[in-house]
Amino acid sequence: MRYRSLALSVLLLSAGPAAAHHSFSAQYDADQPVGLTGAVTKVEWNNPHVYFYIDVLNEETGRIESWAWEMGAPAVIQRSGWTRNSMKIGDLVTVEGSRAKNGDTHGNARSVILVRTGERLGAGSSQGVTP
Amino acid sequence: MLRTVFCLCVAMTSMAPVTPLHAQEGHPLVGSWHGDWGPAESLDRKDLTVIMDWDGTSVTGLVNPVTDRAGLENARLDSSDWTVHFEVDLRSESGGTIRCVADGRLDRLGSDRRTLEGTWVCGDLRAAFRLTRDRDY
Repeated sequence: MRYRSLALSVLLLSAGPAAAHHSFSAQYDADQPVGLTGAVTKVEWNNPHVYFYIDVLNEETGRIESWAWEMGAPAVIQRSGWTRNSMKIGDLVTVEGSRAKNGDTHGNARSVILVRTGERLGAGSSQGVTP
Repeated sequence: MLRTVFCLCVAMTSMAPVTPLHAQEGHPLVGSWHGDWGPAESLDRKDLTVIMDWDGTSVTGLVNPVTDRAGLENARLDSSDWTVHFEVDLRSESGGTIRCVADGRLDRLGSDRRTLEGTWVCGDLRAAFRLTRDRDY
């Protein structure tokens, strides 16, 4: 009984992060590749995914679009050379990835090129890793 | 059974502080804000992005990082009435720069999607601006 209660408690405590984790195909469309250059407006260095946001000028409409990009977990992208300071607010970046299935300005990043240095970093994409 | 209920209560109590922690955001201007300015209900309204930070003594920031990449100047918040003032030099259509001055008021302070609305003066042009802070995830 004691172990069952303990297991239940652990399950409850881990419920938050588990809910935020998802498979690639549940949210993103590999047949909608996107490549965009924009300025970083926000970086969220959190588990289970690092998110960053860029402002992009839509050349057709002349309007600014805010795009949200999902990367892998902090520990995963650190192995690709990322640090918390790799990308700063206002930095210009070129992102390659897949767009969200629902058509939102939201995507799963495969790689990020830092325009300032020309460095290309893998983004720890879940594409091909999760179903 | 009682022990299970007790353990459940302990587990739920230990999770309780999570929600208030999300609400502790520090300075109310910090974050990225998106919106626009121009004649009310007009298609000519211009997009506006303002990213603000607090260095412990003053509000710093960046305006329109794609098109203008202009630094925020003289930014201040009056917490007695939640009014906000900031200035920025944006690119003018003639290719120079034009000083724009914003005076507004914060609303929905308890929300991460708080708003800032007020008057935007760019040279001779006077219009309204509205900004909404981007959500915290």
